[in-house]
Amino acid sequence: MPGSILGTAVVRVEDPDLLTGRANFVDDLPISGVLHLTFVRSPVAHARVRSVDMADARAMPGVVAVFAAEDLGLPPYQGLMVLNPACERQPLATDKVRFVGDAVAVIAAESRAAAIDAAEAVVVDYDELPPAIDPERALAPDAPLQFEALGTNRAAAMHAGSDDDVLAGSDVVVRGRFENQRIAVMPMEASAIAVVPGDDGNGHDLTVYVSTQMPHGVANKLSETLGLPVETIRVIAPHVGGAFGGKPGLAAEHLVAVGVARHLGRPVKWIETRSENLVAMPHGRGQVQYVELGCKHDGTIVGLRLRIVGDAGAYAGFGGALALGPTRIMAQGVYRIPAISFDAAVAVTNTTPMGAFRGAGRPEAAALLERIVDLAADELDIDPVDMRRRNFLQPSDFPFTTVVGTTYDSGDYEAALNEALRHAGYDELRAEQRQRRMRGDRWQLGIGVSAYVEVTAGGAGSEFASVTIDTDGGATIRVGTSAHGQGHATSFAMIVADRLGIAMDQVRFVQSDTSEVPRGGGTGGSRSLQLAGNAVVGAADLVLERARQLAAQLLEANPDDIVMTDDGRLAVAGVPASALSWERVAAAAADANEPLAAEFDFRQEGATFPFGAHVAVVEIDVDTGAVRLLRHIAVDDCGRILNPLLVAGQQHGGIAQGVAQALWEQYVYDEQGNPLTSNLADYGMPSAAELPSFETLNTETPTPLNGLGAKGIGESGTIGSMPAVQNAVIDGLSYLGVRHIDMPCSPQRVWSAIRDARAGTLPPVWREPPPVFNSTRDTAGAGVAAEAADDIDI
Amino acid sequence: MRRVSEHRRRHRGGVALKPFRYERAYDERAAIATLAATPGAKFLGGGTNLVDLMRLGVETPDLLVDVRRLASDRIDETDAGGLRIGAGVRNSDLAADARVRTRYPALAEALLAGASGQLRNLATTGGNLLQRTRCAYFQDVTTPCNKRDPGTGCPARDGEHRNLAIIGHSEHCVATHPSDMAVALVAFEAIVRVVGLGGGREIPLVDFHRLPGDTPQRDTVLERDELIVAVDVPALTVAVNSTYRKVRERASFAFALVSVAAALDVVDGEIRDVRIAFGGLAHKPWRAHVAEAALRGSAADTDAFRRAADAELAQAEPLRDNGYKVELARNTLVRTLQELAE
Repeated sequence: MPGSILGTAVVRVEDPDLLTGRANFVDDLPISGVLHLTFVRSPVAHARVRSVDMADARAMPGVVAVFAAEDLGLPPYQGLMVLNPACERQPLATDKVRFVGDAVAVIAAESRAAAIDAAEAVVVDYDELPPAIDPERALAPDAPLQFEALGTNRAAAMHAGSDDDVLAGSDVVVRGRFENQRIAVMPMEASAIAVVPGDDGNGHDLTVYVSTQMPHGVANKLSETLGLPVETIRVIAPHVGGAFGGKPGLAAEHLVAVGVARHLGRPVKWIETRSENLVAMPHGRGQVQYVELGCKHDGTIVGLRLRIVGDAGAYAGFGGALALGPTRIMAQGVYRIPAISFDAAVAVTNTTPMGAFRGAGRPEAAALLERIVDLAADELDIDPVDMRRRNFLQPSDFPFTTVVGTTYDSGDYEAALNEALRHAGYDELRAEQRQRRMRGDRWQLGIGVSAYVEVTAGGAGSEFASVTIDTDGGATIRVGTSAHGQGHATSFAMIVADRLGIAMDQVRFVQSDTSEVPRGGGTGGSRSLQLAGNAVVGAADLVLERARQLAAQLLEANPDDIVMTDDGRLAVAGVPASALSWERVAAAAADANEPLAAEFDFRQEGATFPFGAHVAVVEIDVDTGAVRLLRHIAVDDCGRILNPLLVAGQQHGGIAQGVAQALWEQYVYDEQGNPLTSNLADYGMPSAAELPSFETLNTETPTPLNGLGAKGIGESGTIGSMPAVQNAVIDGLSYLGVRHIDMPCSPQRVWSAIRDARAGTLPPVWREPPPVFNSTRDTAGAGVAAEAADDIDI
Repeated sequence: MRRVSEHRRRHRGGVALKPFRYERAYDERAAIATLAATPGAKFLGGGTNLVDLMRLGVETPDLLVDVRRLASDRIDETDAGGLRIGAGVRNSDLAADARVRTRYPALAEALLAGASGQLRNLATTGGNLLQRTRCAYFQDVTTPCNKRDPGTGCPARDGEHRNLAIIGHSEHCVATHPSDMAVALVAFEAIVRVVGLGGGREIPLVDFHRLPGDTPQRDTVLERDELIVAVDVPALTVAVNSTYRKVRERASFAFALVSVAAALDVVDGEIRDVRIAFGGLAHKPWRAHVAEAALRGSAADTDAFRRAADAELAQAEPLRDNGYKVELARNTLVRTLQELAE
């Protein structure tokens, strides 16, 4: 057997089609007679809907139908998780609109232009209500209520961890109020769906093409919501232009599109515009974190007290649950923390509903820890690196169960940090920083360090795969994951090539079609390689076992004596001339009326915990507050690496999005709930011009939980980079007395911090949290949402 | 309960492009006559701003008169030793012109600091001057805006105005002019040549854009039927030593928070001549006459630069959240002059 292909940088088999434009996205699909949908969306954040006048729109040329909520009679929409059942969302608003962008009516027309024109002709009579935009203010007793029946804007709350004073016994307590700001998901392809109703001649009554991370999730949710047998629904995800957590199954608009198609008995499609995407697609993050860390004088951590305000947006978007779930379960991070007290309160606000964005609750945890650890290091006058080293969990600690009840599989946190520091040249950087400070340079240097651990495959820990040997001797892989840029076709083909000796170009890859793949959890939560990859391993091994039996029969040998030859054939050990091709073995299987194929559902006993350390080096113009990221060094440990090229790709993309949040991106509303950043000119998404080439490295600490030893890598770059860059900016200004700057560390904020530091008017880093936390410990029933949030996998 | 007023009725999302007619103009007089005779008509140049605004529903012309075929795309020497830039000259071509790069480097730098390569390939000189503000409220047709809908109010004054004006604003409007190119041209005392029904006229660029006052809907003094045909840049020795510095939050695809176009001529440590204009501070490119006067004849040192900047910015009236621009403008000017004095 030649050496294994696993672990080598194999170029992506997906790319030729993508690069040459042969790949089809939803909007590219030729669907004859398709009608175009446009939504009529609320221009106000909070209002009672008095009437919807559709008469003029219905009379317009090209318009086939116009629907408001009562015309379609659709059941309520449910997102990925229900945070609070009292905050039900109708797919088209009925009594009230609750955010700018809330859909009130939908147009179906022969052309997109006709649909857009008609949407403009729908006259909605709104009685405007005062909105609650800021999550902390939304929790105040006098805040305008989004759901009057709920009697509060508090969608959920919980207490976890210790009931005692976790800071008792500390020599020093550092406190910080940190905002982990709301950001837009911004996939290159916005939402898109095409629905073809009626019998497809293949047992389906409904065919849905949708840009999603989770085709089976869409089918299941449609079945559940509409009461249709799931086997009559076919969901296909063609190529998907990015998702980043923004396409986790059924969206409210999808439900409307299906409703319209079934009502009219005609195919429809909805292709979201960019400006629409920025108000309609759920946003991510959105936490206000009150963090208190108690330490001994030597830096040893004594305890951590967290009080977190989560923003769920309108209708208690499931993103609000992330504070209760991933942020809580990752609250201990990479450190020995003897006691943690955790409280969270989640508000509904009159803003776009919250969902997931790359990292989904874990970056928020890593960010608060890495900020407070830096604040403690600053307070105790300990180098931030030493501060971390003094508190790291050690390799001998694993498996390790944290005080918030999370069991980490494996890790070596200090090794990752050491590798990052070595590569960065940490001591030289500090020396240069000192020199620049002594010279009083205009461009000051900031060095930020982060160490993180995160959780992947944290939800339903199982995935489907099958491997079929085709009559031509090639193989077909079917998986329940749904790649949309990650490179699964490449990595899974590598596994089959490794296990069965079949060349990668003879491996076919089938995914993202519920009629071709019986079940699947889709792609999210960095789950795909560790679950589906190991399922492919399992299926391939079953195929090999059966093939050896078939070969043994054909060769009249003992199955135990059948081996695979270097050129990927099956032979009796020591008798290479006997070798049979896969084609021959597959033919024998077909003759026996039992095709050479196997299915395997891989179930992982627990989540895996990738980790790493990042070093960011920034220059700060102390005249203007401009920040330049000079270098970013990432050491990400995702267990054993199957294809380093794909891992590096995930690191680069992830880092870019983390840096973007640290320095530029923020979704802003004014006090009336008007979105102020709903296009790419106003929303601070960076381009390649801002970003250096990242220095990506890895340590490899395999997980014992699966055969490949793989953990997820999809979100690590974001989780590690965001706090490192934020810390770097603050570190660069620490000599002025700056201790904290909230993200995004925009020039304006950085400049303000410099000015305030020089004037001695820096705002305090801490203020007391709102009174909502006085009662979170007594809240009954909140644990339900928290349990659901544990299972999140997006 | 407040009833949502009429202008907020427009729904959010795919805003309908209002139907419009399109005519390609081949004759200047005919084009002007058409515009004069058609109330809802607008000239179309590169379309990089106008078409965007139409898609947002901010601009709703009934007729677009495409002047790209008749606008000059030539850059010619003038008898007086300056350059005449045809209104149809693309931003990318203007930035690449060897005469511009050597004689008016700040102009080339300003152009390259703006937009993106694709946009500069389309955007014209005339159109660039007519860019409209990037104020978020102006662009969002679901909110009030005196510039877009006179009389509806200015939510920016008490709302999100970090990027908006600190000088020359009014209670009706706090918008800024977004152009980079115009800032350099104002510093160089460019003249806008326009033609209307009543014939041609020349408008100093510094007077071309207006302060908002109580008619913020008017960005410029251009009459409806007037067409920009060229921009003249006079011979200007000092312009040889000029630069454009733009401060913004992103390296690309971002408008200036503050920008400075400056030209400096120093002889034996003394400032013989100077030109300064700011972008991002006001409803128009802001020619810094006060600073220039303070600098002429003074020593070319940092103290003088600071004093001049302070003198100019003494008239600033920052809003609640944009006071940072005063110091940013001051620092940016000082740094720019230091660089030019080196």
